[in-house]
Amino acid sequence: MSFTTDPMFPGDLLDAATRFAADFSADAAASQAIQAETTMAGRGPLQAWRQAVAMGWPALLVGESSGGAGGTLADLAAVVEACARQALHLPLARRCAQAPALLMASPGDGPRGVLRDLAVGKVDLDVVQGLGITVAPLDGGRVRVAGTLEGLDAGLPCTHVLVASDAALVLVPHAALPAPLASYVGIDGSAVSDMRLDGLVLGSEAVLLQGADARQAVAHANDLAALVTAIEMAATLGATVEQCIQHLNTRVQFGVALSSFQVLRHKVVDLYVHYESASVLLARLVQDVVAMGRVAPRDAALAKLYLNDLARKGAEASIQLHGGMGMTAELPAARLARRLLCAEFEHGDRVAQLTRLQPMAG
Amino acid sequence: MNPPNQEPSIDYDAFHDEVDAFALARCPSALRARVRSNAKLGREDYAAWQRILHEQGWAAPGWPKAFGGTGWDMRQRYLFESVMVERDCPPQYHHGLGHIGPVMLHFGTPEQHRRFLPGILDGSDWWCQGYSEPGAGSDLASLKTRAVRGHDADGEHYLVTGQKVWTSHAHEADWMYTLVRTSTEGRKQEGITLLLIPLSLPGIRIQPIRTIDAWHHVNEVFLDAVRVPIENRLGDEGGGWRCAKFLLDRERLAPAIVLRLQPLLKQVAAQVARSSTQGGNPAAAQAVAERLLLAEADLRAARELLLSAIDDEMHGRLRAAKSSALKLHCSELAQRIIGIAFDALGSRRAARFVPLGANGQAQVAEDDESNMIHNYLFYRSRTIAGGTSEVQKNVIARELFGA
Repeated sequence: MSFTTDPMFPGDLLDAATRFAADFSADAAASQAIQAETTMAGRGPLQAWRQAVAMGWPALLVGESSGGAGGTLADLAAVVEACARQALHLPLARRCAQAPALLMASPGDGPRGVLRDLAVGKVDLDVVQGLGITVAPLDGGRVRVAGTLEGLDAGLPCTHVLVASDAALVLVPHAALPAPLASYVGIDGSAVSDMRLDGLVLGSEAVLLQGADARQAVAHANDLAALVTAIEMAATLGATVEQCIQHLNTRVQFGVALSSFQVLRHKVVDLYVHYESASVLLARLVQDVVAMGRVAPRDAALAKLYLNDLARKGAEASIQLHGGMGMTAELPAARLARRLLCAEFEHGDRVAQLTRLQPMAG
Repeated sequence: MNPPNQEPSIDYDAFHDEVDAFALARCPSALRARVRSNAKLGREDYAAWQRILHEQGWAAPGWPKAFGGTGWDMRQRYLFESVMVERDCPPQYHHGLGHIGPVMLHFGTPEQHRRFLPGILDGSDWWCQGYSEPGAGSDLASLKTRAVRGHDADGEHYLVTGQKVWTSHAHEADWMYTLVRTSTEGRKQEGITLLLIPLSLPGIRIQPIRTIDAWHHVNEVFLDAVRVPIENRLGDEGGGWRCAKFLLDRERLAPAIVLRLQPLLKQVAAQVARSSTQGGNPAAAQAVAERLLLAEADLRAARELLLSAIDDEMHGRLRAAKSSALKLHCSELAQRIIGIAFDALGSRRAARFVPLGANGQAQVAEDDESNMIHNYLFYRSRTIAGGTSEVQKNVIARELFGA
């Protein structure tokens, strides 16, 4: 049996989520090919996501009093780890961490009601970054929202979108959104759309937060999402190590297994040490979050900066170690590498984390 | 900090406070200043501190009480070492307490315990390690220093002839625990024996090796028909490899490996800050800031790796790959950290490494900047000594690839 890395969040939840992710991983591979159409109808991530919603994952972190599972970040981390190790990319950081965190930070009955609907699957909520968002009051308890939305998930359906910006946090029914300006498939095969809001009129209750309150909530939710993404990246790195070992033990060149070449063995060892380092650090940070009941912004930024660095190294080394096969989009190792490269830029790339960290005392 | 296996009956906060008060009250301020400045410590420094610890009953934090140790659990040891680092106390000299001492506890006879342990505990005996040879470094099992068993009027003995190299502290040591070849039959690991050799014996010559860091710490030791009494053999004849492996496996889990890097990182960050006010540019400052932050993340990961490895060890599940990963990670991290300081200081100090006196003779400079440069060069050995990074990678790779 080939070597397996120690998981970060072992337990029943990891085991169950691993079985779930394995069931959908192959289909996901087919629909996440870069060249594929992005409708994904009835296959892979769509089916998986529907199941995830049915299992209540979007409300895993939501308290039981709001109808959620009352889980901790350790629970979500186990789910994230399981999916990442199976190369099943679901928007867990956005939809299971960032979205509920934003709702929970918003006062009033409206957000509470949305949380309850999220918990029972009536609402499927995504988060999108808003740029230059303005909210102008109108008569009759209405507001006019304008600005640009970047990176809306175009692959998986949702009922509502939380537009997160420094100016405001706005809940928008998906049906009210305009047609995209443009849509794309990312390096990891996920589809996104950019769109322009030219004076979208909504009820004023759609504006959940504004000003400093919005900035604080958006920053906090982004910290949480950054930490969850770092967990996903570490797990993906662990799976990458396993794929590399399997490949080098199997592939024969010059009459011997590639794993007999010391230079290749040492490259894999470097990846393994990176994984060991990242995994124990993230396990500790998650324990700290569970103990303190909140994410320490500096820890989240440092973890994401660290994983951004290790993920790039891991992806590039894995592609190289797999030779020409590493360039094949649908190879499991290549799917992992593509995800590592894409995740680096989600919830804060290297420059963004440095910008956050430098004013923060060590 | 939350190390494994907490003993509910121990008041760890009180323990921490006790150690902290002791360190502040008893560690001489001059010695702490030398530690703080990253100066090279010698026998006099280490021995002074060891005497004080011995008087306190804390000579051997990692040893069982029955042998004169403290009997502390892993958390107490971790706290003790943390305080030592925070208060700039010197590390304890590792060759006696950390290396040969535990090997003696495990493989030694009661007579050897009575004879050797007290001198290690009170710091009066100084040990060095005679392992490497000119043709046997990473490939240690190829060592050729011969020990031929004989008998004369004074009893059974070994006559030892050969050469050891890279022998740290031999010039200030009393004893050398020495791997010798007692047989050339069978596997080469099986013909190795561990002898405890007084460096005062006739036939021993110690010659310093000049190293790039300009500090004297390693030597060549020549042995010419040195007569070593048979009671100085530790373990069985041919059992030296087991002793050596036992030592190396323990060495990699020493808390000090990780904890001593924390103040170094802070000092390097401070050094960078001072240097950047002397003509740095913003883009360069950004690049250095990233290196410091990544080193901080690596250091936090190293601490968790250490705690995880200790926990695994206590539960009997520690994989060789993990302990080697810890050694690999820490030694390379140490180099990265000191490399940042080298970047900050190099333009001024690389060409002004050792000051010359009026007579043209090299002078000893112990200012902080000089010590950083010395340490940058000295730290090249971090990935060489105690098993090179390449050897660690081979150990890990064997486990990853199953062969």
